Amino acid sequence: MFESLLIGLSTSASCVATCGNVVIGIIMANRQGVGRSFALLGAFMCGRLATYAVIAAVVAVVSVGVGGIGACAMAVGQILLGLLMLLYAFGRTWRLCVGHRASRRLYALCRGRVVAVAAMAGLLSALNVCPPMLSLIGSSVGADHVVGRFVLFFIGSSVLFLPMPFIGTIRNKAAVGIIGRAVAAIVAIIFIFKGFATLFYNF
Amino acid sequence: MKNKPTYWSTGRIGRSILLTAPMVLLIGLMLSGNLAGGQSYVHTFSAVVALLFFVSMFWMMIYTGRTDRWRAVVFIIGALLFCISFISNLIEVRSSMTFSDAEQLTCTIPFCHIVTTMVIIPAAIKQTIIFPGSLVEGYASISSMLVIVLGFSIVIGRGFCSWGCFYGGWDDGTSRILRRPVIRRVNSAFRWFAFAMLVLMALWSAESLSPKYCEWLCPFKAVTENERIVDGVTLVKNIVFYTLFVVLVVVLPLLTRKRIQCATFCPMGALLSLFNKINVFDVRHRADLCINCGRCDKACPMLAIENHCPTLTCSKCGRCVDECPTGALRYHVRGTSPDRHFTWARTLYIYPAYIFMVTLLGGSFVNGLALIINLFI
Amino acid sequence: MKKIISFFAYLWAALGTIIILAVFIGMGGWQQLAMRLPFMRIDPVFTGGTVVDTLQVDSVMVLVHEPVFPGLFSEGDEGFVQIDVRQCPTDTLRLDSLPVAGNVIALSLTPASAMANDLSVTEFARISDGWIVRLELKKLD
Repeated sequence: MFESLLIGLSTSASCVATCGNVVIGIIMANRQGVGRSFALLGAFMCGRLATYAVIAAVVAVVSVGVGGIGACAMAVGQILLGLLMLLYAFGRTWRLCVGHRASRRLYALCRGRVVAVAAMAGLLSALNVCPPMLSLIGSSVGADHVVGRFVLFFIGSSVLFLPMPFIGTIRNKAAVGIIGRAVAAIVAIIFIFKGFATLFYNF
Repeated sequence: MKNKPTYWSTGRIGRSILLTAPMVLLIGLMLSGNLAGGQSYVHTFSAVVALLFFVSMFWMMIYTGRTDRWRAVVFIIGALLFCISFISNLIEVRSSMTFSDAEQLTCTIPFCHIVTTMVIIPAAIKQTIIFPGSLVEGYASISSMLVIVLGFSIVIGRGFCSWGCFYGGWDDGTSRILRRPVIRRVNSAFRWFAFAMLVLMALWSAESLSPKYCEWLCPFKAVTENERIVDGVTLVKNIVFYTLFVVLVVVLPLLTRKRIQCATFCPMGALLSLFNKINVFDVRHRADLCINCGRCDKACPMLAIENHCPTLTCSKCGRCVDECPTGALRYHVRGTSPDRHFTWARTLYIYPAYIFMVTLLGGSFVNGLALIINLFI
Repeated sequence: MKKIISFFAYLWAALGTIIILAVFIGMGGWQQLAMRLPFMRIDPVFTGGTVVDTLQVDSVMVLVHEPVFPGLFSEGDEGFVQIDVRQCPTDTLRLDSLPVAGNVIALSLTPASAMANDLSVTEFARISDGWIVRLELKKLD
């Protein structure tokens, strides 16, 4: 079981590179201090942990690995995450799209709901099953302490996320917010593309 | 208009000759390989034409006191001839504009300056370069390109985007086709998208250990080299390249009269903007001379002007300096007074910038010209 | 004080021209210097790693590289082993009983395809005097 923690630690760079862009986008766009940014990261991690717990429960109860249904869930998760990030990016940029009525409505929708957006983003990004996660699922089928394995993997893979809230120290620069929204928008496009590509190749 | 300082009074031919003479020698030195004997007559003729062209453009820059107009001529023609020369070289070596797995597996892909942004993190962590290129030998070797990148970053910072980049000439050219923009208002905040691209490409490439911008997002693959279409994935990649080229390099610059690809998409431009912070040259705004006409904002192709002041992403092309009716915007050497010796500041800047442009583009300029001449004889 | 700063500022600005000239004229020297930097080596993902075994099969030279498991901070679970076939005059080739990364494989090569028993081929390329083949490897638990 302890090796799950080691797998998570050794692959945390991969997790950061894949999901870290989402966190960076949200934290930068929100332009809050370090404390508030940690709260956003915490919400994101809770979302990730929730998804991992669900996957662990499915593997423990059903005792099957990831197959076609898993690939479908991953693709749908990627597309939904992309749409969420698009909503977050452009919903907060109504000033950028001056006079665009839809953008103003999106902004009103997102205003004050950043924590929910972060949690949802964590939930959906954890569906983006990476190779280390796949091998963990494979090795957990029929094994003991499945939930514990996933929790330890989650802890190990979350270590490199911890410095990200310190981006909040440069929140005074207006450019930080714009870059954050741009990161969110581009990440959204990438995830939507990957989601449709996964659906296309698997079905 | 009476407040606009004259860089040189028109008609001061003597001073123009004095400043252009050293440049003749320097350009001749940098093109000496092409001017040397042993080449074909067409090649030597092209080199002489190139020498005269570069010298005449520099002369006009000094004599008229206007920077951008003459810089742009060299920059745009240089970019076009670079692509002609590059593609013809590829066809001569590989019989194709595309590269296959063989070129990647034998590490013979030319190293482009934009890749620098993607190799930094793996180079720091793994101590390796994540690019299938040659370290020392061959065309555009990794070591030579990294040396050039470091050299120009120190001297001219983001000026590379307007004085050296052999891709930038494309959207600089398309942005000048229409006299008036169709899309008049482009929010200057869009320039920060390039920084988002920098962050994402750096992280994505580090995670996957391959240069993702080159693999998926470079619009200039359409006019240089791209991956051979062998399956669905490479087909999608090529569709993305050509679509991005048409949208970001042709259509949007045409409609907005802004260099959209360079200002909003290129991660290298974002990285070089950071070098602007330590660069000795900048474009300074003098509030006491400014009449808030807004011509600089409309003129700036890089979306780099805010409240009539050039910002971090200024590429020092000189267009705002030329447009400003009162001389409120001018080239400046950091650490000196902005209202004194501004003509020397300009000269001190355009000298290394122009030499860099000639040296980087000169070889392919001559080759491209020779190829075109050979088509007709 | 201001005059001193101005002097050095103009001096540094003037040196810009010298630096640009020095970069291009002394490119050979700068390249040699750059090559001494610790990160100036191509990642094994692209080079295939160092050659650990050279085999001579008839007139054909087979270079077996060390296995590569790509990863940023640590090695990954999946990787490849690269085999270079050189000095091969024919368009097709079959190599039996090749010792590669703890396996013994048979390799069938044509200009358009490469096949190996037991290990799957991830990439291959026909080069001027042979082939470059990469076989998929997975780390055992």
